[in-house]
Amino acid sequence: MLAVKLWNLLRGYVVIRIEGLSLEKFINYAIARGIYLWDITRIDYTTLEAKVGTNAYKELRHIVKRTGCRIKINQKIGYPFFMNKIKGRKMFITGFIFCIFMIFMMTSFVWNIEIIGNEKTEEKDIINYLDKLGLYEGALKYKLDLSDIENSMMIKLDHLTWVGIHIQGTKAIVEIVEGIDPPKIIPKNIPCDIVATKKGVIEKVIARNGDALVQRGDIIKKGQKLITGQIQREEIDTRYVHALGEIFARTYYEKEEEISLIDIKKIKTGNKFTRRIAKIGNNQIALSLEEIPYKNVIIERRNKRLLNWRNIQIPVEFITEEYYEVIQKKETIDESIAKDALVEKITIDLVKNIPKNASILNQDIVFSKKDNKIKGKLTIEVLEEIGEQQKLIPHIEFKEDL
Amino acid sequence: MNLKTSEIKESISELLELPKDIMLDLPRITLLGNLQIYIENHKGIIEYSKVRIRINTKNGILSILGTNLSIKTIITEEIIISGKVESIEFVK
Repeated sequence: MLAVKLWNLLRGYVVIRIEGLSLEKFINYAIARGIYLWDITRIDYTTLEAKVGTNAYKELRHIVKRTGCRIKINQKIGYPFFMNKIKGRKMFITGFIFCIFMIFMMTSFVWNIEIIGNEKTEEKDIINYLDKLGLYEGALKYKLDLSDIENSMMIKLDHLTWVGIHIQGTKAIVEIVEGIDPPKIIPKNIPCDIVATKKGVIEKVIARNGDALVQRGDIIKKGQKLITGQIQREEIDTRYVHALGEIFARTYYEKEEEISLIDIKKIKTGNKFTRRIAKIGNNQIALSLEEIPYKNVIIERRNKRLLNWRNIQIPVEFITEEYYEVIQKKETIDESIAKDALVEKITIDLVKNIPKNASILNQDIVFSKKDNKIKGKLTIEVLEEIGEQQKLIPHIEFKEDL
Repeated sequence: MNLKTSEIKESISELLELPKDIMLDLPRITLLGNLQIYIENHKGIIEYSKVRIRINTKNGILSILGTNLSIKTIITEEIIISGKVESIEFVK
């Protein structure tokens, strides 16, 4: 049906008024001649309104003669008539074409650059760099070779793992994934020390190169030298080596947490109160003005927005708030259950901080009770490697050079 | 004579299970609720007004009563009438 309507619009049709006494006859003759009439409505006893195609209209003349009716065109609808009308309005057409051209022009530039995913890199640096590659605000978007820009970004900024650029309308969205910096490895020919990354008690020292400064059982602080690359012997000049080795130490992880023994449960009574709010922009207008009749409530909110069209959001929102009346019920939890829950909670939190290759030696929990609250302190003892290489700056070498 | 041929035609169509509307040249009328009537194989309009439409068919005049009746389409084979239909009857 839609296709027929469109076809009619394209070909053009007229709405005619037929006046006469034998209108039925008119219709029958028209059908017999194969003239297609549609939407025929009776206006009054002597007039009829109908729609007919432009070509068929000319043929109607013969029927008009035979039936003695009169025909008047009421309305001309469709593409040919529209074009005729338009011909006389040249300025309007120029304006229209100009307008479309302007829209096309304005949307063929990049007007906005959005950068997503940069955590370490400054946005300014990325924008500057994109600018050099030809992606700047006001760049013609058909000229951009996006894959080329992506590649040169990847080459130049080497801490990026992936760069993706796509253009959405007049906005260029640059997505960046930053890689994790690889651990600093000091080349083997450069002298270095090994220092502690955290405090602990030394368990095992394996010095492959350099002199060990600590022994088993020593308590060390963070940053303390464990193996030194500076080798001093009597009657021999001081040598500097690249210290190598593994140091295992016992370290401690602690965490404190408390839990209440009384749990307040909310039970819905089944009573409900609904309030509607209209939100326009940032202003809220309550549509129902009654007070909430309950003391303790659970609120459930539901938002209804008007349909969004593309990126445009209509700032009108309808909020339905439902207030359910509740009764508060106090419940005492069994102490052992509470303790179990507490231990589990702290353990999960603590284990997150422990490195994966460490082994747990011991764990200890201390509970204390204080007005309906249980406090737990968990200590986990862990064996882990704590050595880290640090560049050694020789300071005596200058003397020898002189 | 004429009556006899139509009787023969009817019995043949019954025997061979042929559609009767083709064999007997009858109108096929489809009603869509009370909103639209679709009539195939009509023989022309006799009367047309907003409240009454009479259409000639092979087995008599089909009279449609209703309000706001209008002819949506009309060609040699079919008519579509829309509006609020109240009654349909065959007048001999």
